[in-house]
Amino acid sequence: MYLPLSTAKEIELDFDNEILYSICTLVTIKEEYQEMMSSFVEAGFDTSFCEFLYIDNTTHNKSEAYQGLNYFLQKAKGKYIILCHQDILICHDKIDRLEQCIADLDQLDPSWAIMANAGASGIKDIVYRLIEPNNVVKRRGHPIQKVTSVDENFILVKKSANLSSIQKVTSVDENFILVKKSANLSLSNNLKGFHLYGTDLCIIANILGFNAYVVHFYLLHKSKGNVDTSFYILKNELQLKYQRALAGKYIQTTCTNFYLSSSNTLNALLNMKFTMFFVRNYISIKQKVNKTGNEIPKSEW
Amino acid sequence: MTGAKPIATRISNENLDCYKYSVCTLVTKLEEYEEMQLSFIAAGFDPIFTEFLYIDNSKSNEFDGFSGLNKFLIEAKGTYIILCHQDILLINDNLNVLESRMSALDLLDNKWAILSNAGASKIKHEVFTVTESDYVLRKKGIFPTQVKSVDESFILLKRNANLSLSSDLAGFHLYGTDICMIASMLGYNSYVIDFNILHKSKGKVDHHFIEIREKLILKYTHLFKGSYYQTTNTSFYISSLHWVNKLLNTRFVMFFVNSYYRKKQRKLKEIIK
Repeated sequence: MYLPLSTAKEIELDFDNEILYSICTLVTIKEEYQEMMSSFVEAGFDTSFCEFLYIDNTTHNKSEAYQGLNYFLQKAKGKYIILCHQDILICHDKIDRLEQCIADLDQLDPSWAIMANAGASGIKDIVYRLIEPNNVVKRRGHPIQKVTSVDENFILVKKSANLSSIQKVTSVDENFILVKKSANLSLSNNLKGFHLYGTDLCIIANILGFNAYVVHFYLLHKSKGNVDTSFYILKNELQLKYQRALAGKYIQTTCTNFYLSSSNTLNALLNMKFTMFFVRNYISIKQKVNKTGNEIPKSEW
Repeated sequence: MTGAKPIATRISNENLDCYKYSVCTLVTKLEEYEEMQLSFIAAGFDPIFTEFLYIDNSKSNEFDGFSGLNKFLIEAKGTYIILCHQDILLINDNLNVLESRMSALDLLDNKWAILSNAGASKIKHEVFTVTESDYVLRKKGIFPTQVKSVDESFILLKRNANLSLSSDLAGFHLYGTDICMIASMLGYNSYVIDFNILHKSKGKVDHHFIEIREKLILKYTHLFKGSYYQTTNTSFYISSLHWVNKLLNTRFVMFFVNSYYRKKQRKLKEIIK
């Protein structure tokens, strides 16, 4: 007896999200959040196609940033997820500007997954588009640098004037981050706090094969960020975490085995049949000596 | 004038999942898939709390292992997502066994995110419980064992771990290894449990497999390379080597690195002018 296939659901091949933007915020001051929300609505983020999601941290920190933003990334229904601070106002550029940036990025690099108004692509190569509380426009990073830089991704910049306002980065500032839902990104589960999650998100995106960009989108950010002791503690934890994660290792699967490290030479050497023969034999002998586990000998299979 | 508060939705960590399990399969043979689905239901995966999702690859390969399973990971609504081959049958162990293994693992390690019936922890440390087409049970290792890779025939994931597969790899092999690598980077662990499934085929190690293996090695070799990270507030060097990190993050070295890049930036500005 076969079950009718109708019990199963064939998955949609294309997303047709009713909600275009999920705007997600950790809230500590409700009035400030309401002001931020108003600014979004006035900038064109209509509630008919946008959802506003928040975690209430007003009385105490129910959730720190890594855990909270992971909730958002999971629960948000929008095609694009905006992770932003409560102390920003979308009072300069509007939704049409953001959508132009998205269209430009789609044209430049279909593998983009993160977009922000501030970030950095290398040492001393910080890029931002900001308005400070005193209405001073802050801008850093010259798009034309991309063309002269060694990163070949930016050669495409020449094709369109619009694309010159986009810069590929390795970290983004946390005040405003737009994430493509279809990239299914996450933040580290083994980091906690309220700092450097923009950097962590970019590293994870890079591991998954996606890219991050800073675009020409001005917004007002009321505060300048807070580099305190907790920032430095988290910085050390992030360094230590990735130091461990990136360490060279042997990978065994049920069908093959290989060595992975950052060194091509070491990989080539340790993946040679000759070397692998000795590694396998060494481990076999070690296993026989220690004989832990209830292994069934191959002869009995 | 501030916006109306009710338009915002408060997020909490309450479990509001519609389904407990999402069973996701890439299908090339619809009859075989139906047989698999029936075995799941007979093993206790009632459609009331289980959704069965599939991608129809019967006419052509619309999606490969990496892109198709990423689609499932986004679309699945279950608390637990099972990614499995169409050629497995749950005729030995049932849902009760699976749930008791999961409960035991919850007590052992609440950071687990991936479970399978087969995998490997290191060289020559394969662990598995599987019945092959000859109906003979093959079992090796101690259960549960933390592993670095899992076999693709049956993978159970915690949805709240929000895992993904690499978007820059494609094909039908080694995605079990890739997802364990990604989970490990995100801070989660993978385990092989004693859960006996019938797997009709033994897997195919063909030239596609070798190609994906090479691409996976190349991808992670590139990723593992040390690099400087600049944020809007700080800069630092990360690599797999502790002493290199220590050295390149000392104020002395950072001073020279910063000075070098500052000069480079100035030169670029002059060129632009």
